[in-house]
Amino acid sequence: MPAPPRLAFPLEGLPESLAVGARLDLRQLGTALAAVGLATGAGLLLFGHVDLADLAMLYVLCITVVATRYGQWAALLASVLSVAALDFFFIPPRFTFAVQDVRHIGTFAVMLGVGWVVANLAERIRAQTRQALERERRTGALYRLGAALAEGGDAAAIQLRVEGYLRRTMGMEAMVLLAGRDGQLAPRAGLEPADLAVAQWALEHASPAGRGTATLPGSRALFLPMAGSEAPVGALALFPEAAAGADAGPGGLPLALAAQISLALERARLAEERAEARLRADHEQLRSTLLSCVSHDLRTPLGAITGASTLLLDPGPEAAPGDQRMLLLTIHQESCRLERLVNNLLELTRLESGQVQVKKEWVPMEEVVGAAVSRMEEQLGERPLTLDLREDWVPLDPVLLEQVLLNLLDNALKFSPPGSPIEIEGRALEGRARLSVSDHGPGFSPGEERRVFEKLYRGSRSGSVPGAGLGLAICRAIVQAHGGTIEAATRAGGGARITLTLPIEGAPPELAPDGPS
Amino acid sequence: MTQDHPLVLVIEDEAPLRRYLRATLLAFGYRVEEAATGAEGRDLQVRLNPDVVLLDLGLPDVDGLELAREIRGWSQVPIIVVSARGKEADKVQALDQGVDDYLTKPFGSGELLARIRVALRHSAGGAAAEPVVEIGPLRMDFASREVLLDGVPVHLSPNEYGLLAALARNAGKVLTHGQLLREVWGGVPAAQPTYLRVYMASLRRKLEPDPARPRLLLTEPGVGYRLRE
Repeated sequence: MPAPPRLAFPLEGLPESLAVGARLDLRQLGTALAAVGLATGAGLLLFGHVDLADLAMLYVLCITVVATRYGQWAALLASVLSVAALDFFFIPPRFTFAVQDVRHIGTFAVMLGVGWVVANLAERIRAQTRQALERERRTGALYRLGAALAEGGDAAAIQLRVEGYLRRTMGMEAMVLLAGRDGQLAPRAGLEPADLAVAQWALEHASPAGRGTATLPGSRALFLPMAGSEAPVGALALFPEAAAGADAGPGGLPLALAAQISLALERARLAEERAEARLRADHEQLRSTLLSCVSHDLRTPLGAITGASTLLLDPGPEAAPGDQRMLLLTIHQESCRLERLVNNLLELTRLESGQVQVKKEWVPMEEVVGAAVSRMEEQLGERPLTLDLREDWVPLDPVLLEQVLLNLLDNALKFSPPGSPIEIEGRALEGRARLSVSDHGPGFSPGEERRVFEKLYRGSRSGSVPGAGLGLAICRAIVQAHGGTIEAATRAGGGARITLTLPIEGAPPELAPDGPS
Repeated sequence: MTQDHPLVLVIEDEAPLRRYLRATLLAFGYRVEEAATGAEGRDLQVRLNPDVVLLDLGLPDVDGLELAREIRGWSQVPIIVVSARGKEADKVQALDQGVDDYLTKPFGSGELLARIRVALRHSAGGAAAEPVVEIGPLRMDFASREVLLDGVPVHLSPNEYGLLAALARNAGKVLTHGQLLREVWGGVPAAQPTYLRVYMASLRRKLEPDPARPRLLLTEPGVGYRLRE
């Protein structure tokens, strides 16, 4: 955000000439003297060519100028000086304060009267200017604060942003104190317990307290309550430099700031509550789906294992010798299925709870694919597998990517007819790498390409193929954690193709080959 | 040490897994002693001086890594750790502090027996001292630094040769990235896993018919490399 134009802002130290109830000081005295001297000099030059009345007008002009620039008191002083100078230099007998003609007394009276009126008018204009400036400054400050708050974020982010903003652009040392659900303000480092108690009082009584107010003026800071429309939001603390000269009353800048911060905090709190509620609902939903999935998918293999092992332990008199091997095979297969399911459940839980950190390293695609393929060697058996890879290097987490490839290979094996080929293709392109696993099965039903990555979603063509709908969800979670994307498609000639795209940032490592041995 | 019937000490808290290990090992001619806790395992290790220790990293009473370190303190007995999936960091730590190999639960009997066989062979001081190692189509002569693939000489760069030699001396055993870097590059501080990947890729290109389906030079993602036995 570019720094907003800096208005003369600090709450204390208004420009001296605009200060409330300007007093006569040396500078004003000097200015009045100089202005009258100037007018007198001009009068002396013009003397003899113009009327005395014209000279009087010259002084009135001088008084008006002084009044508008330097205020009431300087104007009054200028009036008196003007009368004296006019009398001394120009009214016969000249160079005395004596007055020959009584009419001139009238002139003096009029000059003094004009001076008085002009001084008053000028003062009023100056007061209005001051108010306008003050209003502009306030509006500007609130507007810029509003812009800073519009970025959103949670309460802690707003807290930091507001404090930083007030310090940076307004020179205000401020602290935003947040109230918990119970309405108690949370302690902050650098805030003494006594100050916290004052802030708490301000919040509970919905009234400013502390420095510069009637309540506990001995505190280190001025505390403004942020009551919120439903529940207390917190308090704004302004430290001495900022609190001095601040108008803590209604309409003052601090209260306006506090009101605006309060609104933003309340908005953030509502958003948080909504997000929490949504998360809870999602969790509920997920838990019930997981429960039904787990109870079915865990029970089926367990049932088969229990049944088969019971029969092995007590085969009965009619058992054929071949049955034993068949039963053992059942136990073995069902155990493998259970293992996969449990692994996937754990993996997904780990990924979703953020326990998994992606540790990217530059790895040749060949190595990642090779590791997954060697681990699947047994399941692949005689399946024709075509690998189309180049010597491309990609930054990725080898452990997690192997997991993705194992799941994709497992799917390809499960969802395509025995003996049909599987293809893996990998390419590094401009700034990204693409890796795809394709099979010659039925592919996806139209419209299903996105849903297959949802947790517990089972494709309409899954039929009797065992699975819980977790594999692709895991793949998606891992690929997304890499900053990549994953897509499902049915190939033109039939068969499913899953393509993952990973970002490539930076350049692959280059090592000069060492000489031949 | 009884060469014909080596003694395996199983330190594992889960009874069903102990039963399975005992049955498998006895069936293949090993003698077996079991410990259900780390304390008991430490005790038996000292008293029986087994030929191999199978150590579960997830014991209830002691940290498996700690126990492995302790045992290494007084004995060079081969230790094979058993751990759950997704604990690559633990495995690497265990291997780097002197454990010989690992098994990831659940594992089949074939894998179990292969690991024990390799560990026993290396503890007997076999492979390390042999001047010539033959693994499948590969023949390595350490004295003449000659490498033959299916009888045909293969020309390797010094780093490639160093990498292959380290793996061949420990054939069947996993070597971590750290171990290989120390072995091949000595103490070069800038050496990193990327070096290994570069030379491993070129080694595969020279030794594997299809580098993406390695038959000899296997990758253990997140851990290191293993030359197939």
